[in-house]
Amino acid sequence: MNAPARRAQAWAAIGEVTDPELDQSVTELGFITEFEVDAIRGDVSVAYRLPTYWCAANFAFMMGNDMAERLGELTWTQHVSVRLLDHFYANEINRGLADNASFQDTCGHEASGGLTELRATFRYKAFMSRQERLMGWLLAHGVCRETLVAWTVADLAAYTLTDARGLHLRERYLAMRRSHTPGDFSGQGYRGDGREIAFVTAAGKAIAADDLDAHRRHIQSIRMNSEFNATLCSRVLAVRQREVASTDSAAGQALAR
Amino acid sequence: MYTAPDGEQYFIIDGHIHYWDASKANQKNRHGEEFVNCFHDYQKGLSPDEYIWGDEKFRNYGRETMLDDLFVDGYDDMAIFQPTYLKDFYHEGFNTTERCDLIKQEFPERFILNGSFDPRDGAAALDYIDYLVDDYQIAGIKLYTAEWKGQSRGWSLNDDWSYRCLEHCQKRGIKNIHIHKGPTILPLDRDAFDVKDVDHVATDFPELNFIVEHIGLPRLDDFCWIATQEPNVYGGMAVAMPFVHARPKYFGRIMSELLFWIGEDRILFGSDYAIWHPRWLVEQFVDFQIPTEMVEDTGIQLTPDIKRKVLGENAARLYGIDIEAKKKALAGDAFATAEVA
Repeated sequence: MNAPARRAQAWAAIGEVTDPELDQSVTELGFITEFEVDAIRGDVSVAYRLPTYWCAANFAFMMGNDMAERLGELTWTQHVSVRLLDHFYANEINRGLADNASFQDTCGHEASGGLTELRATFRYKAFMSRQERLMGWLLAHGVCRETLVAWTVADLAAYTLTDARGLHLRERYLAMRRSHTPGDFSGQGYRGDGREIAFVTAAGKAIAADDLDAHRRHIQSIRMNSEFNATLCSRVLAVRQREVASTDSAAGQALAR
Repeated sequence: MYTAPDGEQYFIIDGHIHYWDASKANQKNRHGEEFVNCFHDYQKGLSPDEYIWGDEKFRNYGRETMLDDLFVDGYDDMAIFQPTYLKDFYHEGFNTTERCDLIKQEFPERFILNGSFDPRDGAAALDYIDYLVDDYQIAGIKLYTAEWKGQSRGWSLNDDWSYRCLEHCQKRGIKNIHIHKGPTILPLDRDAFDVKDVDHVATDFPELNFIVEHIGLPRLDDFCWIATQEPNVYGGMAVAMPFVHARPKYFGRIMSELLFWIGEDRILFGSDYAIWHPRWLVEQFVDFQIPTEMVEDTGIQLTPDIKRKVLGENAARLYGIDIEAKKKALAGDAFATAEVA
């Protein structure tokens, strides 16, 4: 693999990491402010900055830790460095990231356990938000409720879509639906065979057509919460980026090239 | 008082304002600078352009600006001081009861003064509550669970001393407890915005009212659930208000949810001044209608009567204010004259 290909692969790898609260990729959100790849030596160096100095420390740690893990999984990487900038807990988090320490070890007495439970909570929220968005789109574009609730994963995947928005929403939902055991958001490996029901409750149960409105009302509230943070974060991030625009690191997009 | 273009009148009690000093001279460390920067970014990110200030003014806007913005340029009839101490970040504190009291003394009819306590002070917190009640006649309490103190980065309403402080408030006749939820960061492995501790205190202190600022967002679903179970839980609209401008459709959904779950009697307007200016918030809120397709879906509308409750009547009930008597008391003061002029 040549150097540009490795660079692109590394960028794609960190792009898989999402902000747990917003369920959006850290690269799309513009969080990455430094991205250096020495393809020959296998060194990757990443720095990230969050919308405010006060972003929750556990989310900040999770994102850094996930990026380091994704990069470490690439066959050619030797030394991976991920650093958090301009954050109240940056020193502690960066020490933890450099030592590849667990969150508990990083935080010492300030944490009372690992992040497993929190991660599962956010996977559940992401699953439900993605489902809500896709269902809403499909219902608004001619799919009837009875059909929708009866679809298997294979039916959903085979349904003819041409609209870019629809395709995007389906891809995002299927990525989670295919990789999670119904009712289990612990992140254990799971591969369905396509015959499972496409749209299920958090417990993995099929939804009756008559219950669809109540189900949607419930999951809409989850989406409303993430929309609040997403709006606040994106607005604040835009302000912050305008103000650091003079530095060469501002445009996340340019970093990928 | 705000008179809408259609002639409807609204008595405004701004449920959440600050009188802070975040000037360089008062900043203790980098956190002080970053704290006020974060507030300022909120202002810049969610206000109409003409309401965005420069750095210096935002750090310390002073008495004149505040009085003018609230009562002359803005439509507030009354405003509630919600102190935020932050003594680990600012030498004299960010916005203390003592500082707010200087203004309250000058204009006692216009302001409601709330105090604060920190349960991590232990027994001293009880003495401090006594001092605030006896010397400042505070009307309520504002709590900030994400405040740093030495090694501690926050506390929970369920902590032992928190309970003792709340018991003491109840004993001293304080009824209204405003809670600003996080982002709390301790313990760090927990959900930073969790509001479930409100549920326990609301059950255990039925005589107190708990006003959850920014309506529990981003945990609106949990907040609505708790408020549905606990009749003494209220929602403060600070921070959610500016969404009326930034994301009107989303704001419509928030209002629909709140009205559906907790109803029109338990929602309180707050500008969070000086982050946001009450003038445009009130104008846009009064002008706002829940989008038609949402109304068709839920049947919930935001009528002038509901807006009157949110903008003033609900807070008046909590703080024992007779609006008609208050209108008379305010009619001749310096601000009423300035408004007319």
